[in-house]
Amino acid sequence: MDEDVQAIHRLKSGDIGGLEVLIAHHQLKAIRTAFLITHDEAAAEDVAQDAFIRFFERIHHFDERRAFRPYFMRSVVNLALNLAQRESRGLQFSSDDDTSQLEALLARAVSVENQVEFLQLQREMLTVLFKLPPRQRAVIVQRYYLEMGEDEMAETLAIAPGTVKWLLNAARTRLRDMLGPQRNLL
Amino acid sequence: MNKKTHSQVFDSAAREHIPDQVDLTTQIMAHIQSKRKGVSMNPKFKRAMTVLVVTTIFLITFANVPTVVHAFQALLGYIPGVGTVDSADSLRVLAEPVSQEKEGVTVTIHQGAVDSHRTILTMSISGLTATEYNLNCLYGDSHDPWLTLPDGTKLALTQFTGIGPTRYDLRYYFPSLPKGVDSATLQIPCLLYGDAPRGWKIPLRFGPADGLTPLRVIEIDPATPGVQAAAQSPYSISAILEQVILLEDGYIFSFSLVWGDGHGALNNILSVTPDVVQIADADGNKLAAEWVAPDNPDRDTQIHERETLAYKVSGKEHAWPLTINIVNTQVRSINSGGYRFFKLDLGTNPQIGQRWTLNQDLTGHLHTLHLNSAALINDPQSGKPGILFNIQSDTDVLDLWLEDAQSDGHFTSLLSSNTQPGHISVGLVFDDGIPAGERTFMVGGMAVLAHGNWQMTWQP
Repeated sequence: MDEDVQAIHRLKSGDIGGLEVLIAHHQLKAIRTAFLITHDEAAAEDVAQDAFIRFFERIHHFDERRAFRPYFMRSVVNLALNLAQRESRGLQFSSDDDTSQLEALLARAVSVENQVEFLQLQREMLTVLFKLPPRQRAVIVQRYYLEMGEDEMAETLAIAPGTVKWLLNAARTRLRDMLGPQRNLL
Repeated sequence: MNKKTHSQVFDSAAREHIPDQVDLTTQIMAHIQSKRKGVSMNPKFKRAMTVLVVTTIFLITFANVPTVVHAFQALLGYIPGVGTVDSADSLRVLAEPVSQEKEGVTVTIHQGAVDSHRTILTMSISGLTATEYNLNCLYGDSHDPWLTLPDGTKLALTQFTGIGPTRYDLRYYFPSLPKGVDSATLQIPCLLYGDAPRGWKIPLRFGPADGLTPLRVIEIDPATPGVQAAAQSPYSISAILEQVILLEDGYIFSFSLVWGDGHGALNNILSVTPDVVQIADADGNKLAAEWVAPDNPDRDTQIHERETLAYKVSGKEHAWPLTINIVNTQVRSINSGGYRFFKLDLGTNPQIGQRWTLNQDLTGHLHTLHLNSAALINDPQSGKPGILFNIQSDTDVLDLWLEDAQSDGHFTSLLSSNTQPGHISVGLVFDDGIPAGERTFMVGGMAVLAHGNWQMTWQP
């Protein structure tokens, strides 16, 4: 973290080498974060690149007292989410997008020791992740990959913490089924 | 046991696609350096270049389009069906349509064009009746189509869009074929729908666009009077006319609704979908306007919060100017209504089938919701208990969802059902059994009809 502070200080002083340090430290996490949201390797690299360039362009507005990583990753998540939402227009997502399936796979993956099984679980996890709508994907990635707290996630997504919970639990709605036999109750 | 963290698991999963060796340093630094060079240009040279550029634009604009006084001509052309192409460079087009049939399903590549920065193909699928996406195909490995060049080089799909009238009509975008390479094989691993045949390899041949003159595309200067409709309170959505395509028998108007701060930052709006769009002439006569697939996948990557539309108007003779009026849009947003929490006391031993009369108003910034009643039910699908609320609203409220502030996420919010205008049923299903006692709920988000009358005018 100290290296980040020094790098930002260098950048603010006009030394672009500071940016190289930040790129070296954070690019992999940034690209992988973007990939998990966009499901597109090339787009993920574009997102990360865009985020670094934007940061560079706005370096003089950055408060050095803030931690760089959370600030930067929020930018990556936002850019990736915007891209994913734009790209997914018109696509229909699984009606069974309950995150519980993903969480169950994740729970198995953390403790499995067999490498082959681990790889298989990873792939299943990604398959399930990419079935989720982009916004819900972003929430999962922030929660489990970036290990953000709910408040921080809510700030990133500009929504209330309660909505984060909702998004984490938002199984696709089934009101039509539900209304069928119960409609006359109301 | 060597237990991993969630983050490590995701990192490992992503590593299969983003290896550790990836390094963006060179390209980022090159990008920044190139911008810096622009900034540090010698002032005299910069002024000379500015004069040259302005003069060139002036000459292009007014030499070719003397009647257009407030638009500038970009080097874009339009090929019906294909979309916009860079008409300044040597354009190549698909030599002939190509079809391939497998097991009763036919894929046809109707049109194609290669300009300086992309390869565009339009395709359709016939004989396929499935309407559901094949999720294994959509989300599996290597599902996207690609172009294989004669030397084995692969060009990955950069984007695809639906171009109607059915979901089987698509437009693919790839990087440009290198100069001198006029053939490629389109490879489609799977077709996204149902259990369609896989492994398509369709040979394509391109040739010079002899005799084909792309139609003129006018890029509208945003400073032109009348082409922007200001942001409408409270959603801060503005509209802007961006392109006019001069067809032989009419015009295509391409415009966008824009919201947010224009820098990719999210606000509470999830989507904006125009509901009613009208185009009228200067006498107020409404013209028949036909939706066409917008074509600007590369446009303005800095502004993500936008919805672009395109409409075609037939005929060249009109009472000018024409006015494009976006009468209203559906706005889907999260927590933007400013609604307060509301409480419901379920008692100590609530029973399935029990009802409560609420009869209270829930006031937000824009709409008042009247909570009529609530009922405790069994969700027939999950078998879990739920609460179904009956809510009355004005007819502009299309949809909403509720949150339970106390259940720590152990609930499922159900989409509301707008059974008739102004009457909404919306429910929550609880994972932890029948809820009891006083519960606090809130409106998490809603979809409403926003009446903006965003108007843009244009004349040739």
